[in-house]
Formats: sequence, C-alpha cells, structure tokens
Amino acid sequence: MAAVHLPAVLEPILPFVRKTQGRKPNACFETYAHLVTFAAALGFSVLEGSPPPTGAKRSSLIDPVAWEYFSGDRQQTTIQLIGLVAGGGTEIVNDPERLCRMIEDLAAEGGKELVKIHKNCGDASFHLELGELLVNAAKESQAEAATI
Amino acid sequence: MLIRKITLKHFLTLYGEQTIQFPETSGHSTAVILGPNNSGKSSFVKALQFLLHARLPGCNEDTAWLLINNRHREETGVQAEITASVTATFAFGGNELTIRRTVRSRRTGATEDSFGDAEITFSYLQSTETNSKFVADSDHTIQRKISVLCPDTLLEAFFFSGEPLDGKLLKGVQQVRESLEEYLSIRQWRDAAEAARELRTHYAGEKQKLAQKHRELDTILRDEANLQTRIDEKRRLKTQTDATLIDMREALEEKQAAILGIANQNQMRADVEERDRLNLQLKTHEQSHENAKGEICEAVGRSAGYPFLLRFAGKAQKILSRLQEENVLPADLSSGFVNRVVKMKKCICKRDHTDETRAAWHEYLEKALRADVGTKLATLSARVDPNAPNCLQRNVAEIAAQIIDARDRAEADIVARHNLEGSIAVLTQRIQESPIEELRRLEIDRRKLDVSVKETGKRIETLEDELKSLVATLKKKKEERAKMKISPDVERRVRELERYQTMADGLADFIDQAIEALRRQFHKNLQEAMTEMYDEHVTDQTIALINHTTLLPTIMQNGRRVTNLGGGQSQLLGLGYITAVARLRNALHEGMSQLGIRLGVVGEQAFVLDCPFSGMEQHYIEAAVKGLCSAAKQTVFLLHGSQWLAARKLLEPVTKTAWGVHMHAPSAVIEKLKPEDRTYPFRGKDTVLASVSRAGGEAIYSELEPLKGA
Repeated sequence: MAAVHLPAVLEPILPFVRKTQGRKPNACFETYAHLVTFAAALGFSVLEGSPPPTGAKRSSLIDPVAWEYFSGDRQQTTIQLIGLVAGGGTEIVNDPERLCRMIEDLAAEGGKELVKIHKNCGDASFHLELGELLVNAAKESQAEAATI
Repeated sequence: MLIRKITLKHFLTLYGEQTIQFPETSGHSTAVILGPNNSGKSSFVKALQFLLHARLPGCNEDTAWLLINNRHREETGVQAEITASVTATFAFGGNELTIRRTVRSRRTGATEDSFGDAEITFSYLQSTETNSKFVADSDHTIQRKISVLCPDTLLEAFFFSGEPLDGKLLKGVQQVRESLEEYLSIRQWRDAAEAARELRTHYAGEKQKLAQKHRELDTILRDEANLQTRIDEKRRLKTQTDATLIDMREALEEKQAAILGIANQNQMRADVEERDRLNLQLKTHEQSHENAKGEICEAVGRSAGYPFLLRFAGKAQKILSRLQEENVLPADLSSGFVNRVVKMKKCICKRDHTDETRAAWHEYLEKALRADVGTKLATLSARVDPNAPNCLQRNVAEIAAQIIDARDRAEADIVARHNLEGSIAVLTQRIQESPIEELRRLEIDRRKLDVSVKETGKRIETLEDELKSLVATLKKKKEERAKMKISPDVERRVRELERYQTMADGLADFIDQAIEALRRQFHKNLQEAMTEMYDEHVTDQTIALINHTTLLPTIMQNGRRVTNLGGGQSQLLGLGYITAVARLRNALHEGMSQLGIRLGVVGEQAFVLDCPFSGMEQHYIEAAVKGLCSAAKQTVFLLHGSQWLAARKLLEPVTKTAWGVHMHAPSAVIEKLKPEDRTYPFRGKDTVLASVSRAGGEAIYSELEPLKGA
C-alpha cells in the first residue's frame, strides 16, 4: 500500500503539527499529511516546477503516512496539480507510488526552506512568517498572471 | 478477766433474777458463796461455762430448755414464752465487757417436758453517750475475743475447777496437764509463728498495694496537674485571642470607615472607573490580537500550499486541455459506461465495433479512469480554470485576503493596545498620586484583616474544642482518683503498716525463742510452785519433782518414787499446777505486752473454785488458800457448810464479798441437812440458808442473799 515517508529535514517543524506530543501553541498543521503537502507545494515552487532530487532522507521519528490520509480536497488538488505538471500528463498521477516518492522529495526541498524560516523567526512567530510567505507567493502569482 | 457482776435469771436451780456484784479492788479479791449441798452453788460455774462458751450441761441444743429453772417452768402457761439468761460484766485491761446468753423456749403442753426447741442467743452491751442496749454478736467479734481472753480448752483448768477437788483431781491433773501440753505444744506455737509470718506478709502486701496505689495516685495527680496547666494555658491563649479578635474587628471597622470616606470623592472614583474600562478594552484587544494570529495559523494550515502552486495553474490548464483534446478528459464517464459501450455491437458513433475501437475504449479507460484519477483531474480542471467559481486563483486570493486581514487586525490591535497602555499608565499615575492609592492599600489591609478575623475565629473555636476535651479528660481523671478511695493520709497508713509488720516480725521471733524457753520456764515455774505448795506443807518428808519431758509430778520419798498419794497430796498437786500455770501465763502476758500485743490481761484472772477443800487436812487447806490467793487476783470459793467451817478462819478475814445460796426445798430434804449446812456464820452473825419451800410441792429452788455480817 502506498505511503509517504516524512523527510528527516522536517523534524524541527514537527512541533507545529497539532498531533505531535509537546506541540507548540501556534501549531498550524492539523496532521503530518497537511505539513507534508504544504512543504511539497513550497518545494515545488522553490524548484520552479522542476523535478526534485530523489532519495531524500526519511525521518525515523514518524511512521510513514498512508496515502489515504492525503485524501482531503485541497491536499488532493495540490498533489494532482504537482503530479500533472511535473509529469506533463497522467503518467505520474496514475501511479500512486511514484506520486508518493515525488511528494516526499518535494517536501524535503520545501522543508529546507521551512527550517530556514523557523531558524530566523523562532517558534512564536513562525506561523506569522508562513502567513507572510503565502501572501507574498499569492501576490507574485497574481502579478505574473496579470503580466501574462 | 475478772468478774465484776453476774446475774442469773431463772438459770438452773436459781429462781428469779439473782445478781452478785464483786467489788473493784486494787489487790486480791476473795469472795465466798456459801450454801448447802444441792442448793445450786455449782450453777454459778455452769452459768459461766454457758455464758462464755455456750456449754450446755446435761442437755443439748434441742433440750436446752432444761437450763431454765424448773419452778419457773412450772409457773409458765401453755404457749407462753419462757426464758433464762446469764449476764455478766467482766473487767480486763482497764476495759469492761458485759455479755448475755439467753435460752428461750415456749411451753407447748401441760406436761413438764412439753417445751419446744430452745433458741440460744448471744449479745453484748453496747453503750453510747445517751443509752446502752444489748445487741446481737452477729459477726462473732465478741465471741472470738472471749476465746482469746479465756480459752475454752483451759476453761476448767484455769478458771473453774469443778467439785470435788479430791481423789479425782489426779485425773484432773492429768487433764490439766494435757490441756497445758496442748497449750504449750510446738505445733500450736509453730502455727502461731506461721500466723505471725502470714500477718507480716499480709502487712507487707498491704503496704505494697498501698504504695502501688500511692504511685497510681501520684500519676493521676500529676496528670491532673498537667491537664490543669494545659487548661489554664489554653484559657489564657483563648482570652488573648479573644482580645486580639476584638482589636482586629475594631481595626476592620476603622478601615471600612476610611474606605467609605475616601471612596466618596467623585473624581477619584471616575478615574478608577475609567482605568477599569480601559483595562477592559486592553484585554479585548489582546484577545483580538490572539484571535487574529490564530486565524493566520488556521489559514496557513488549511492553505495546502495553494499560493505556491498558483503560478503553475496555467501550465496545468494547458496539460488538461491537451488531455481533453486527446479525449482523455473530461473523465465524466464511468467505467461501467465504457464497459457497456465495448460490449455493444456498435460503437457510439453508430459504426460496428472493430478491434481498434474496442482497444481505443480500453486505452481510454486505462488513461482516464484508472484509480479514479480521472475524476480528480476533472476536479483539478475545474480548479485551474480561472473562470470557475471555486478556482485555485480565487482560493489563493481568499487565503491571502484572510491572512492579510488577520495580520492587519493584529497590527491594529498592537497599536490600540499601545495607546491604551499609555492612557492606563497616565490614569494609574493619577490614581497613585491621589488618595485612591490609600484606598487601595486600605482595601488590601481590610481584606487581610478580614481573613485574619476569620482565621482567629476558627482558632478560637479550635481552642474551645480543645478546652472542652481537656476539661472532660480532667473530669475523668478526678473520677478515677475518687474511685481509688485512697486516704489522703497515706504516709500515716504506711507507717502504721510498717509498725504492724515490725510487730509481726517481733512476734514471730518471740514465739521462736519462746518455744524452748516456754517449756523450760514452765518446768521451772511448775517446780517452784510444787515446792512451795507441796514440799513445804506435806508432813511425810515427800517432795514433788516435775519431769522435764512429761511435765508430770512425781512424788519422791528418800529418793524413791511414791505411787500411793493421799487425797490432800493430790489436791495440792492440782492446786500447784493451777498456780504454776497462772504464773506462767503472767510471764507470757508480760512478754507479749512488751511487744505491744495485748491479748487481754491474763494475769487478772478469776478462779472460781467449787468446793476445793473436800477431805483435806487443815494444814493442806491453809496451803491451798494461801497459794490460790497469791496466784490469782480474784478467787471465788463456792463452799458448803463443812468446808466453810474448815476454811472460815483463813477466808473470813480476806473475804470482800459473801453471799449465800438459800435453798428452798420440801421439808423432808431440809430435815436431812446437817446443822452446819443450814446455818452459816460470818463475822459473828448467822445466816440460815435452807428453808421449806414456800411454793410447796417437790420443787427445789434457790435464791441468793447476802450473808449477814458481810
């Protein structure tokens, strides 16, 4: 059965998942699947849509997350879009195993960014920094769209 | 034990109430009671035996009514109660004791032996300041006392030598010796020593018990004292706490009054209210700020990274369009539809199915519908379409707007909070500079005081509970002490017990030493008395030697034992024995007195001798009288006519009391009497003591009367 392994690079961010024991007060991610999806989207953005380096180191702290946990509407949109764009067709989308590996690798890339941000801002305003990051990304995208 | 007074009422031959009073003298007292044979002189001896030890001469308990005078019995009607009694007052050791023994019966028929079972009672005279009365000796205290003063076994040997004291006396001597042997026996003395030791142990035990009780009492008293101290301490503490509470309440009232006074100033109240209002607003903004940050947090979590992907939406749309062109999309057809189309004979384009058409449909199924991807891509297609209502672009805009809005609100809150904090600081400054600060301090003090008052109240309640508990415990201790019933004069009691213990020790030692000394002393006394009474008065050159072992006399003549003794010799032996015993008892008494043991003044004893001179030669009688009068303090001689004539010359000068027993009998009996048995001379006057019965009939009875010349 397909499952997503949590990249080891995301370990410092785990306290911001609400399911984690010893979570932070401003934990914003409902589940590990939400964190992975967010990080994968960020990683995809950072790589400008290019395929990520494969073989990201997996975390031993968290068990692999079953593919079913990524069934939320928004998560599916994110994953399908990434799979579609990265594969240029339905080839990857139709292969859950490949999709899982790609999501893992992208999440590892995004994770690096998240760790950097966390290091810079600390625990208390991490969520605010992520908010800013999202707002800026939205603005940039909207500006690009307007240019096109 | 000397006789002071004796009263016989209807006892044996003596009719009516007959009393003899004996005078109190410091020296020897001699009394004579004279009367014919069978007149009732012996009734005195029997009366004393009955009175002292309940001896019943010639009858048993059922027939004790026989002790009641026969004339009196004859005079008693059927069903009438009938009594006889002996009452005597004895003197011993400076005390007097009056006792009475009564025999009571009821006549049940007309015949002379129709009397019911007799009842014998013993009582003693109890005197108070106001009156005297006879009370029953129910606990036998008096009877026991008499047994000590006048032992039953030695009664006849010491006190009452019955008649006749002639040839039978040798037998009597043997009885006397046996009685004395018993009295002097080792076993009895050992028993006495054992009793003394038991007494000592008893006193030691008593002393120990008393000491134990004393210790317990000490403990209780100490506990009581401790409890009392604690109670006093608690009471003092409670009083102090009560006073503190009163002070606190007063202070509290003062604070409250001060608070009321200050709080009435309006400006200060307005400032406080304004500060409270601003503080409220500050809290609202703080909450709002937190909420806004929470919203950002939620928005980030729910974003699924959409804003990062928006830039790829166009590319995705192009891919999806291509897929649509390839008829891979829209995937709004179900796999069931595809399967039905393939199974049909003709394709949906109305042409017959070929292998190619069927392969095309299967390829479509593989590309578009595998793993339900088709449906999801269809959804994605709708999301990337900028014109779709739920497009990605719109979602991203919403997310960004939500975050921006929350962020703006959070920032606004920060500004507002900053402003508010400034205003609050200004107000606080103003309040602190105003009396309101004092009000605040007062309020804090008041609250503290309020808490202290409550705590103090609780402490007082606790103290009261403790006090109640302590008082209850103290009461219990006092009850325990009361139950112990220890005399407060414990020390005196202990000293007393120690004294008794010492006395018991002394008695035991004395007895141990006396056992051997007694026998030697008795032998010595006996030998001296026999020498005095016998050797110096016999005329046949015989001497009496007392055997060391048997304490029996042996009469020796010229170194040979004489076995046939004359009557006078025998009587002298008997009297010698009695004299020796009297002296020995005196010696014993003295020893015991030195120890503080006063069993009775045994040296003050009465000898009641019933016709002791019968058949004696004159010089023997003289020796007997001399010996008896020197050995005993009181001697009562019961003598008939011929003996009185023989002893009169010796006795008359020393006699203090002289009574006659007047016999009333039928004329036939009277006529048979010798003249000396009828008429008794005393100091120059004659008294007739025999006359024909006034009552008539065969009854013989007697009455006492003082001798003329007495």
